[in-house]
Amino acid sequence: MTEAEKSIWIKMAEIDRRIIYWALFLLLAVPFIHPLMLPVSISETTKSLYDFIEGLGPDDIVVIGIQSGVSAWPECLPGLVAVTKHLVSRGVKIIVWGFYTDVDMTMNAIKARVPQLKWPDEEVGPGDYKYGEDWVYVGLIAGGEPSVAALADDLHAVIKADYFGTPIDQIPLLSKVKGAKDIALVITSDTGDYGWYYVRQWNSRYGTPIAEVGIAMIYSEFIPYYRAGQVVGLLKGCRGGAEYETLIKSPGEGIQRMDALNVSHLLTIFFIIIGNIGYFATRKYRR
Amino acid sequence: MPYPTEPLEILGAWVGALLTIFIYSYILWRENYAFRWAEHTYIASTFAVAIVQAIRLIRTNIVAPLMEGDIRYIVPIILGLMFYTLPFRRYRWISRYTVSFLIGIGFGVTVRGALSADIVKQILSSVTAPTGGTAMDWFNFIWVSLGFVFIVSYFTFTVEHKGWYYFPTKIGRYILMLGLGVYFGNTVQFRMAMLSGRVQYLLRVFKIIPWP
Amino acid sequence: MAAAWRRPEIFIFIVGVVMGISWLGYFFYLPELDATVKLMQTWAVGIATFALVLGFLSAARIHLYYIRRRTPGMWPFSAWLFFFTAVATIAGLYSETTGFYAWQFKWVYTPLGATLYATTGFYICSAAYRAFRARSLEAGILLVAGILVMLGNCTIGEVLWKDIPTINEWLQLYGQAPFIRSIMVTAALGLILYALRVMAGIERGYLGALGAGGGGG
Repeated sequence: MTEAEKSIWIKMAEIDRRIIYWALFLLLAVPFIHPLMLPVSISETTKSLYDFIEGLGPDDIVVIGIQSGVSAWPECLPGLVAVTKHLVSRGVKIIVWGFYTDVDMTMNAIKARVPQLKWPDEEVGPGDYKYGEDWVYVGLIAGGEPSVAALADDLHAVIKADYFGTPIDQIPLLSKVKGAKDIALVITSDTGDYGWYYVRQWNSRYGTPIAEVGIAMIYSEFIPYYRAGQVVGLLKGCRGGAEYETLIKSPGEGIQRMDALNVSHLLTIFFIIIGNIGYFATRKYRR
Repeated sequence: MPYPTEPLEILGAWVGALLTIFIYSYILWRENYAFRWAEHTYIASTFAVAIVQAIRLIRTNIVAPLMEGDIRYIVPIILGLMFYTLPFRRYRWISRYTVSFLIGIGFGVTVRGALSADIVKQILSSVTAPTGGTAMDWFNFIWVSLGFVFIVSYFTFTVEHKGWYYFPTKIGRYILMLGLGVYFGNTVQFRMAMLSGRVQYLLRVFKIIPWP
Repeated sequence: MAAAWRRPEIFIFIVGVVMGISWLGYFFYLPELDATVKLMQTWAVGIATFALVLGFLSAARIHLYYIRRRTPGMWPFSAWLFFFTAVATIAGLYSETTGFYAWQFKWVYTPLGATLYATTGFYICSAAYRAFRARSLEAGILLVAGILVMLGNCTIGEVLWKDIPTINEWLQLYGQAPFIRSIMVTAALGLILYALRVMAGIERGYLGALGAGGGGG
């Protein structure tokens, strides 16, 4: 092999990382300008969650725990919005709380995309959710696993008022919920540990069904819980959100984001392949 | 929300875009003062948000019940204030009371849940055979159960990995690598989705794509 | 007299009692025990609220040091940090939903948080390029599994190869299950053993310098 040929292979194996960064940054813009909108196949865990919520009705109360910040919106928000739309279509009562400081932003983002959810001062039309009776937003709750455990044991010991400061005994929906036993499903959206807290403190002790609508890494970590029947369904980040949007026939940001994933994943695979080609071509010169 | 129309909102959108570009200037170029300024701005904003929300929560969840006569709420106030001696080396020992209490309650709730959820139920699931399943169901059951045993055997370092014990640990390594590969694939999805969100935001602010 | 209140045995005793009551309340139902456990959990929630500010206090010491020493390249940014924190906090105490606090929450805190979190997207691409070389059979298995899952997670994978969704589904639901389950069980066992060691006073890392004399073993 000539020196020139060798240098091409070495260059393939040692591309400057800033070239990779710029390629990724610029190419990610393309699918937003020219979307493909390819169809999305449905996975078992998404279908399982869909079927479970299909079995719920107006007598059931569901908790949505938002433990993913605004920074995780691209991954978690499509799934959260799709699941909330499904719950609203089934007439299920909803309680929303979160453990991250920006939970208010996420709640507002969900509400903007699910217009049936009305604040206390908003007019309620047919099919809308009346605040306090059909749904409640508690806001930020501080603390980690002890807080989650305390909520499961006695909700009223932890939550004194809702987000607007209304005492809990004046909110019809919250006053009839004492703890985990009164909840039909907990939908938790995580980037960290909170999903495990709900499985350990709510499902393990009280048998409350749990569903995870979080990032793709948490999906992996929850597969044993799903296999053991402790979790009824999982959404794998924005891919799971896109699948759920397909199931409820309400395309949204999840399906839009799949094109960006196509570009980024193919680019990553491309760099891995040429890195390996360069590595194998120059391996004998390293020995 | 559509493209902002209020002047302050338009200013905010452009400030957000500028700060994003300043942060990425470190990655796409090199460290610079614009990146450092944006970084310190974020830290300051985080502090302000934490302080404001902490004061609100303390007021509604602790001080309010205390004012209504529930004297038990004096304990978290005392322990919480003792916690604030943590940054000061001379008085740090005072915060150890709070730390000890939190360690005790933290381990207390975590361990009791982990025993059932993370150990008993997982082992039961590993040894519960599929009832009337297909050949693929049995293959999956054997794969998960034996794979679990082989990987745990790989991580058992009190027995030397040689002789008859070498083969399960070797197979365990291969299954471990398969699992890590899958986990990596999911990690890539997560990271790329986040990055695409930022690119989308910049395109919206620069009016290259519509703001829904 | 002051030294008696700093003895590590007192803190170990507190940890042991609180942990023990929590476990007893889980395994045995007694109304008084149950009420005590719930009260302790409520106290923990309250203390966690105070802890939200702790990060600021720790960082403030460091930045005050930079300002006092006029550390080149650092102190002007530290001064800006304190200024912005003060202005945003005062605005937030006045009103959380309007004014400067709400504006900076929406246009500074939110975009910057998302931006910093998303920088890992760049790093994972370059890290994958540099580190994912099939140097051995194990590395090759990791590489192939990763590529198959990446193709399966995006919609174009199905277009390139129609069996990708089936393969991806198996890898997600069964392929990685032994790995995740083994990590979960061994981590839980380690957690329980560590808790017992803390309860027995063998592990004293949480005491810092106070526990340094009698830790380990």
